[in-house]
Amino acid sequence: LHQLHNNSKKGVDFILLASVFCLLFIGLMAVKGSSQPLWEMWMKRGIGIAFFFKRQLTYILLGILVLYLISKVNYLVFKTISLFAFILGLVLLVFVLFCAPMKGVHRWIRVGPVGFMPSALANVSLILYLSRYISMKSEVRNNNINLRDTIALTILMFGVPSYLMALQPNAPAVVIYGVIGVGILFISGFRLRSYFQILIFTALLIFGRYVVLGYETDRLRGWITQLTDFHKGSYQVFQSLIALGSGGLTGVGYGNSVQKFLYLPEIHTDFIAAYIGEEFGFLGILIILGLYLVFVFRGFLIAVRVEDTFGKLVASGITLSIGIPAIIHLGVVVGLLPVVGVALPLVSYQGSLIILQLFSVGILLNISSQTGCYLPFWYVIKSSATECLSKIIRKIDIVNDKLEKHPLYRVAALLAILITILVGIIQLVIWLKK
Amino acid sequence: MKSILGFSELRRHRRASVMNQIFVVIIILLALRFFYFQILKHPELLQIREKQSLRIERVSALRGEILDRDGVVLTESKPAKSLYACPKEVSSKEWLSKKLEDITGISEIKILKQLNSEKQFVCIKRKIDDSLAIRLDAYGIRGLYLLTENKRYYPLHEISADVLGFVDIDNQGLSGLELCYNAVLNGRDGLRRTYYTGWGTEIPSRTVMLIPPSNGEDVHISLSKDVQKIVEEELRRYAFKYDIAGGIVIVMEPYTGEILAMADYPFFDPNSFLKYSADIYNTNGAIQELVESKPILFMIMTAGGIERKELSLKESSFGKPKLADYFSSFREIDTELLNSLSHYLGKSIKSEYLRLFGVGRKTGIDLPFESDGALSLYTLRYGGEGIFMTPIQITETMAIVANDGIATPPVLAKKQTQGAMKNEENSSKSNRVILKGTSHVLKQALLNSVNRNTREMHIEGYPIGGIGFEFLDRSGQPLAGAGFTGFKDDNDPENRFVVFTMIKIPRDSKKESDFVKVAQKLFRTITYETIRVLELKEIDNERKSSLR
Repeated sequence: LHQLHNNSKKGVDFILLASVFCLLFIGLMAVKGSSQPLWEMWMKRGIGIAFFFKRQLTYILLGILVLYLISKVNYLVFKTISLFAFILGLVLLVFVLFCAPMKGVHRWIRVGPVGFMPSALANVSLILYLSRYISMKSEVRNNNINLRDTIALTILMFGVPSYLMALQPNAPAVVIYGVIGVGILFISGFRLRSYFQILIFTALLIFGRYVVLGYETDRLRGWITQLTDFHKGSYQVFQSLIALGSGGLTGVGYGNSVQKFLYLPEIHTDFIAAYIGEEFGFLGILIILGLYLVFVFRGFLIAVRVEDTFGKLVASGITLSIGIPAIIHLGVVVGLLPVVGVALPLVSYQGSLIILQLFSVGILLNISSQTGCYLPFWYVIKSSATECLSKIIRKIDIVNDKLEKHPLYRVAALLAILITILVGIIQLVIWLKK
Repeated sequence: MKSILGFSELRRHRRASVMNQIFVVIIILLALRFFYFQILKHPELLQIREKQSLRIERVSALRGEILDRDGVVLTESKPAKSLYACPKEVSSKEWLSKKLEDITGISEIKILKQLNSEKQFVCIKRKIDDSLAIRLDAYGIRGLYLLTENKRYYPLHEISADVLGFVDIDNQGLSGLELCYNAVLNGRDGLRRTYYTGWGTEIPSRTVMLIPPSNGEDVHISLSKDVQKIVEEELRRYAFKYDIAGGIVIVMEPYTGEILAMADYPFFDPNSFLKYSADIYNTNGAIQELVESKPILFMIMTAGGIERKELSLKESSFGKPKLADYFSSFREIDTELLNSLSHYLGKSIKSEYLRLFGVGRKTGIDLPFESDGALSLYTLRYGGEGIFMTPIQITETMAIVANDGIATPPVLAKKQTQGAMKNEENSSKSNRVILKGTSHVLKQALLNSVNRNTREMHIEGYPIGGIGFEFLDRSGQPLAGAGFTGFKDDNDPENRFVVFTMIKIPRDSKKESDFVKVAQKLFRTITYETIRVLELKEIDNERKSSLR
């Protein structure tokens, strides 16, 4: 209790929090703009004005509340409940198969107007339980893992949930789940031999099913064609590329998208980056990429900073759980990956899932507060300006000193400088042209 | 002892940074890919988008209205709904086509064929009835759209249909004044740039008007709705009473040439002209029917004889009785008399006066497809047979006599919104055909003939003159019709008007009746009613001006 009390008083990573809020704000505005033709069309069926915007706003506000509360709870609490969370995830994955299908798939559990996706909970529970499992093993077994553990990991933690997800069917969830797990295993520092054992088992389990059943091979074939000639790609990707291409450098302006008018299906969820690219152009996309880069960078920084193995792995896992879907989404939108239907985390309209994502971010923030080198969350809000400023400067100095020593810092700093110069030059050219 | 955990921690740090670097590389790759499409492929993709969703469209101008001499609207352009479908949105095409067959009456197979087409948007039926549109809207069927267009509507239905004509589905004039003044009424279409949604519906907020349409101008015509209504009611009444197959009436002001009424029975409703036989809506007998009217030819030749001092109405000439008597007993004017007169006058006088009175030549009335009449070189040289005139030509001949020998071409359109009709400058102005004295002699003879012999035609206080005629159909049937044409005289030339009435009887009619008498009665009724209407208007106008 003493530790809990102490932790809650320490500051959280403000930069990470700022990037999350920026993404939430951009997402809210993008959902408002992109969903307009959709609710207008569905008004006859009883959907109200700006339906998606209102819902997204509600979920974001609820999510921020959850984020605040979770950031106040010591993350070690989740270590104790991780097994329960994992079992709950499995139970819900079984339960969803008996729920009424939506568009032919069993992905959502509906309770009244609220929908819930068990595969997203499975991701969080995997992060928590896998981190606990590895942290406990590493403490007693010199980071080595025997065959029994390999089989247990592969079948229990990867095999069963991903098979259940494949039954829904939900290929993107399987991929994200697998990549997060593999990512955590990689960061956990396992010897590569053990790592590859698990990797091969997992790969066999996941892809074996698809190869045997021949599921989605057409989609993969279409994707290969699309990589060579974008004109021949799937309808959605082609429309997405039209949206991006017509946006150009600075975009067509907020609210002026044409592709949102029923050319690009699911624009407010699975293709929101295309919408942002159309209305805000390449510069808008650079901002989105930059914000995710900041998030991932800060996430891994927290993982590096925290001394506790569990915290380290959870921080990495949460960073991956936001970063990987973002990369998949952006890859799909730009035609690099096959269409899988993955929402852009923190940005797309995805119902109650945004609460779960902010819940994860809350854990990440709590871990960041353990390191004790971030700004106090309440400083920014409550402290007087002068007092805060001096403390901020002092803290920044400390952070900077520590950061400069880190090898990643140079890469990120160089990239940030390059992006800033590039954006500056482009803005200057536009200004001169006008 | 070296801490195992410490060693592992170092590895974890390294791996986390490797993971971070992988992310950085992926994000740079993504940024490059975005750069490729958003910057390098921008022109190509923009072109694809515009081809897909942008359309440059013609904006049809609002068609101008046609108004009568008192400003009564005779045609209206009303918004009407057109039924379109978006096949992509339709869940069950079979069900929808069946449902639409029940509602609209269009064949199910035809609708299904359209719904199965590759098009994004198909037209089911254009300009449907309001009641049908309300019904369809109430159903709220997914994939069906009602778009607004302008529909030409004739609020007075059959009244003056032959003069007004009608338009096609695209609001282009097909006959009558609608065709004649199509360019004036139509205006100039505009151009607009608009974006369409993926389902083929327009995005109103993205529409930019490139060239605004300039709406058509209103055309004010000389026709009087009240006179026209009386004429049509009377024609219908007479048709019912005397079982006649057709009838033509023209009322014209000789001083201005303005047509007050023009009707060709049987009538049709231009709102639904396709329900009628093509002979009814495609022809206007008043300007196309060919009539061999010997009394009129006799009058023209007599006018020539008087002008050249070869004849006198009060004396007998070329072995015939007094010519003035023929006006009252017009039945005696036969081919033999016309031939004798023709020989007596000589071909130069005859042909000159026939030309002066406009026989064999269009009157120039502003209606399409006017007939020339028939005047061959042979008939011009020899005899008086085989000369055919149209009702409007006969009316014009009578108008010359009534207007003291001055011919004013018949005209319908008086002015357009922006002032005088553009074609007015080109049309021939009034010109003197015969001397005032000659016209006076003829007028007197016509007035006397009505006063003396057809007393039942008398209207108290108003001098009426005129002449009846029977005519043979060109196909040689014994009696194909009869008519009467005359005028209401007045000291003020502006208060005179000419009336032409003609009835046609069916070839197989066995009903024995003096059809000239019927035409005379019709003439008298219409003249009487026209006087009444015009005088009531005069009183009304005076009252209005005194109130002011």
